[in-house]
Amino acid sequence: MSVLVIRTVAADPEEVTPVSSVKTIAPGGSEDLPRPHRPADADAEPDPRRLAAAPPADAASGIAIAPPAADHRLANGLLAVPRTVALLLLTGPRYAAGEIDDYLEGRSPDARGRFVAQRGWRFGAVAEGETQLGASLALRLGYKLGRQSAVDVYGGLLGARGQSGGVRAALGHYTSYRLQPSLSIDAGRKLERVFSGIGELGARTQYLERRVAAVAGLSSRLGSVELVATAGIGRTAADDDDASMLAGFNETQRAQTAEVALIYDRRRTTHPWVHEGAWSTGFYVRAAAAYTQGDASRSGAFSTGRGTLEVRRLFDLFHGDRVLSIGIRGEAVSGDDLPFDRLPSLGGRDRLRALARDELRDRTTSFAELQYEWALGADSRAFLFVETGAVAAQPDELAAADLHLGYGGGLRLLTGDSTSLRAQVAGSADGHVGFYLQLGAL
Amino acid sequence: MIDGARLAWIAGIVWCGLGCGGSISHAPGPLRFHNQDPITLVNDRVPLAKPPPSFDQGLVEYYFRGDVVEPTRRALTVGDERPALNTNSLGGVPDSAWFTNRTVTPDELRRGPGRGGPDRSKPWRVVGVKIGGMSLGIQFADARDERYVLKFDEREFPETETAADVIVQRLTWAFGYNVPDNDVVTFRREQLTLDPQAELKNRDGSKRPMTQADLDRYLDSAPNEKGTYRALASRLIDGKVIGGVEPEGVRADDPNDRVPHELRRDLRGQRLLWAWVNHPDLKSQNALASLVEGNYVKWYMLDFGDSLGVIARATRVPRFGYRKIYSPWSALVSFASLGMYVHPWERTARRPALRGLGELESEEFDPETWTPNHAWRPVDLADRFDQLWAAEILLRFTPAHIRAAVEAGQYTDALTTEYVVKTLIERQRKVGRWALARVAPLVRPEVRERGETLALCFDDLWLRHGFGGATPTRYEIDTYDHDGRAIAKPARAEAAAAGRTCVSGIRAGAAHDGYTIVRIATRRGDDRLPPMFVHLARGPRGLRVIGVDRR
Repeated sequence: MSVLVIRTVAADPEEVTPVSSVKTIAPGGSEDLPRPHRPADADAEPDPRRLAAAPPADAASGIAIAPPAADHRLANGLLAVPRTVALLLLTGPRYAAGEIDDYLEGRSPDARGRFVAQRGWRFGAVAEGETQLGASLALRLGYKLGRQSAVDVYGGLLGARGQSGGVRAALGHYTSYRLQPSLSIDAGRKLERVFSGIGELGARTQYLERRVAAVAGLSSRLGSVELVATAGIGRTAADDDDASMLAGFNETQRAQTAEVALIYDRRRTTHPWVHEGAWSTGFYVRAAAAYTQGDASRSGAFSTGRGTLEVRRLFDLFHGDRVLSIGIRGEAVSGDDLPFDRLPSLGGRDRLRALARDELRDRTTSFAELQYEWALGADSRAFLFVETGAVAAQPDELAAADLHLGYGGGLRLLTGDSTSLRAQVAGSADGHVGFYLQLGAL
Repeated sequence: MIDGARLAWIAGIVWCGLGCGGSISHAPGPLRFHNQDPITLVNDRVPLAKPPPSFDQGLVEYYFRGDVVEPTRRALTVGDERPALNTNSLGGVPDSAWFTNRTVTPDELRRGPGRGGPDRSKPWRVVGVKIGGMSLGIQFADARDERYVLKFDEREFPETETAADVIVQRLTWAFGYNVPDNDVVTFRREQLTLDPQAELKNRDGSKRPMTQADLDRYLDSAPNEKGTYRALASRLIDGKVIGGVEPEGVRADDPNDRVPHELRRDLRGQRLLWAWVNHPDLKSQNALASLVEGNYVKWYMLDFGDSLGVIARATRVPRFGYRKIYSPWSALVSFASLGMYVHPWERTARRPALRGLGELESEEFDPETWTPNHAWRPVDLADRFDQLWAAEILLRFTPAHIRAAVEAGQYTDALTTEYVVKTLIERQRKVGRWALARVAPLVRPEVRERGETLALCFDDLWLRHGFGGATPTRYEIDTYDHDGRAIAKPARAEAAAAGRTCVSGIRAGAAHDGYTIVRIATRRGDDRLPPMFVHLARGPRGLRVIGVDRR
């Protein structure tokens, strides 16, 4: 192909000048670019005659013949049904969003536009799922009396919640020691539970529990240290059609429990952008001692002391939201011929997650975990964990061969200073699998 | 008989069938322009027969619609992304009630569009307090009886919002948009007196007389230094405010609003401006439609106090501008990498601790990935051509312009001023380099007849603004007549180093008023940019440029 080289001339074709004389424009702007100066008075209304002759805004292109536009009628016709269905499905949430706006508008903010309401109704819902116990639901209705005071009632249904309900009350802060009284009353029946024996995992059976309990508490926090004292009374019964003769099954227990716990909590976020519900670093220790005295209808009176020690250390690996945590926990009880459900346990969504809730029981439990959590977004986290735990009749009988090894991971969403959604899946070296979904919290 | 236009139409259909405008197209395609000068003014000021009603949409529904409903609708729609519609034949935006093509001197920019702030010859009469929003706003009338609202910085972050608002307001105005008259003011308590008619209006419509105790309470909550308050004085926009600017569609009650907002180049091109000054808080409520004198709707941009990284500093969330509030892709990257991938906003903690400074930096800033906090359709739709239009304007700001704007923000620490000026210049260079590299940045085409042939001159913004370095730039020239037939052999021209190049020896077409299409393909070293077609035709004063078609 022949190529004609056209002469390059300078800026003004009327006055040809050597290219080398054209000024080079400095980076960062070009003050000397030739252009009409239209200063602030350009904001004045345009000349009426010129305006009257101007076309409307959609007729400025000057195009006489436009390229043919691509025709998507067929594709959009095919998509009309799913599109309409999707938009219809979103109509409800959108209406709800509008209602939320109206509600927020209706509340009187202070002059800074922020809500200062100390009182008001609150409503919540909880949905949970566990591999062995199935789904459960709960609804909560509460009234906030002040910044530290609220009363909530709840009702639960299905699975581990069976048919249950209760009242929880936080009753304010008092004195410079920030004493905070609390009260809870819970009652339930047909609460699904799992039993696999004591000491070692045996055949897994399910039974139903009935429970009524009232607990009064008083806590005081001074800096990083919190002291919590609780006292409660309760009546429980474990109904098992197989009529196991283990203490605790097919009998009713009445018991009173007192517990004192000392908590040292220095967990904190290291950067201002880290969600307050996701600690970055710090140290946590909880030591608790409890004493329970009770009477079971078939197996007779019992009394037991319980000691619990939990230690956790968080390490900020990067940026405050890549966090490694190491935790250990041990628990032991005293006394003989205790009902089976008074024994410490492992299993469930917090410890040895491949096992069902409280599936592994004995007089002594030990547990350790290593968890790595990282941010997916400002208010979402993913985590991976490995964990191990064992039970034994006596602390000196704990042996490495009895350790159950588990691993898994999950996701959680944070709201305020709590977790509003957590999903986790776990497996164990001995072939168990657990899946947990938790939406909301009571 | 098939005439030229019909032939071009058929050619266009075939061309479209082959991919509709591949980036290295030689054919001029079917596009033809009217033989007229480019439009520089549109009439969207026709008096309205009926005043439009006001509306004020709640944010929860607004965000739900913008972040969930509309993306769902678009995901199930084909061909929803279209080029801008309100451009003239050169790809520019004519003057309108939205936008004014203006160039200002640094001094004019420093003064801004207002009168230098409220009249201080008499105490300001407090007439009410703005209730709602996230900041305290005391409304007053000055000696000229003009209404202003005073907005204060958060106590913990002095000089941040007030300075950012004024700096970005100045730049936004100089860019071409309508903005309120904003200035930083300092005053003492005695400057304010309570008007006897002052009222507190709640958002639910209830109101009560405002008392001296109310005023004292509000002033007590505002930061001050030894009794001197610093605030942003924003003159209330002229006319009657009738709502925000919806990101999509038009106002059905405004017949002048004829171009869907998501297809307005002056809104889409804002992506570059907002990326430059990191203004991520884009929402309907941060722009206003006002029914002004003359009974038409004028459109304003406002509330820039969260820009220049201030929102990231005040909320302590550094991702603003780098990631939308919800970003499945970002979450997926974090998830898949087990958190080992370090996002750009996680590397930005090198900002100096200067009074008034937000989280503003230029090292990690990437114009391509910059994003507003929530979906804002015009900005999300911005294409190469919208951003070329914006880049041409944005690069006109010299260091002197930028310094003038920053000085209008009245930082008390000179180091803050220097840092913001330097960082804005660095960000401007990044923005310009990115926008000009994706399309042929050839502007201001001009044609002169020289005997039997003609010369075509144009500015290459890449070279004009010094992005070229040592890489040589060359243009390949093809010439076509109205029917799309080549009328000369392909030719080449070397770029003038300063950026304005004229190529001569071009032959004009013989028919249709000398209608001629000049294809300019730009090569920088071994890189080839998409071509540009310049359409020429003979007007009353000879050949003229009647349109530009960028690919």
